[in-house]
Amino acid sequence: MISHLLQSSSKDTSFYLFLAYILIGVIIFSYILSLFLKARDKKKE
Amino acid sequence: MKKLLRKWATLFSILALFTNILALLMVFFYAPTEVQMGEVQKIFYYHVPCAIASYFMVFISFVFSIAFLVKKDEKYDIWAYAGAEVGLVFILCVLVSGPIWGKAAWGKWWVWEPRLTTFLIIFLIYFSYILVRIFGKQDPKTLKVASVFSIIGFLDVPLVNRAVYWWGSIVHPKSVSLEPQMKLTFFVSLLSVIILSLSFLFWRVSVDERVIDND
Repeated sequence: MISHLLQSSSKDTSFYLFLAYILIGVIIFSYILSLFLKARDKKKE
Repeated sequence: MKKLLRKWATLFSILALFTNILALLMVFFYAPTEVQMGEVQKIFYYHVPCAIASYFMVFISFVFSIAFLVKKDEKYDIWAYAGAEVGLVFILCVLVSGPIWGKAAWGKWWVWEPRLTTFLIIFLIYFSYILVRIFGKQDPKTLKVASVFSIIGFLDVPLVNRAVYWWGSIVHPKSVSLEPQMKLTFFVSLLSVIILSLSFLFWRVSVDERVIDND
């Protein structure tokens, strides 16, 4: 793993990498939450 | 019906949880860092699978929309709506991760090149589809209009795929050659995202108000 990291280019782009994965995570979890809320509403009815 | 759907949804959810954990571990600790672009190239391992999952979901929506228009049975529309909605979630993931990758690798958030533009059109069509569904409620005309939207939306998918070959591209290569470790990570990520999309699809169908629990 460390040898892979040593290969990285001179430009540090890890911020963008984490930003992209965090935003994908936010979208996925928001959708999971919306499904939970929809299921709860349906149960109440 | 609902119980069976929930069984499948639960099965896919459990599988999705484990495969996604494995995929993320592989992306961050196993896949080698690409020399030219550096760490940011690892966006690829979810960016491309999300795009493929979105095509898969809009294809499901396309097939069930045709079935609904032909057979006029609402059970097909339930699947078409679910496919379009889940597809839009993954389209959004692609549209969020792509510009971040572009900014880090090429210094630009967005370029108006054929593949990006045709993909944006897919987003706009399915976004319109969801708006039609929300504001049109369950009116029979709404269901028909939405089905036509879904069919038109899917017809854009081959255009996105062929855009690079027909009109060229500044940022998307025609083909990608990957190291064996990168290839393995990509296929695990693809599998994990496809399973996740299927779990969303089954959950979404099971929570539709038209699905009744008759088991």
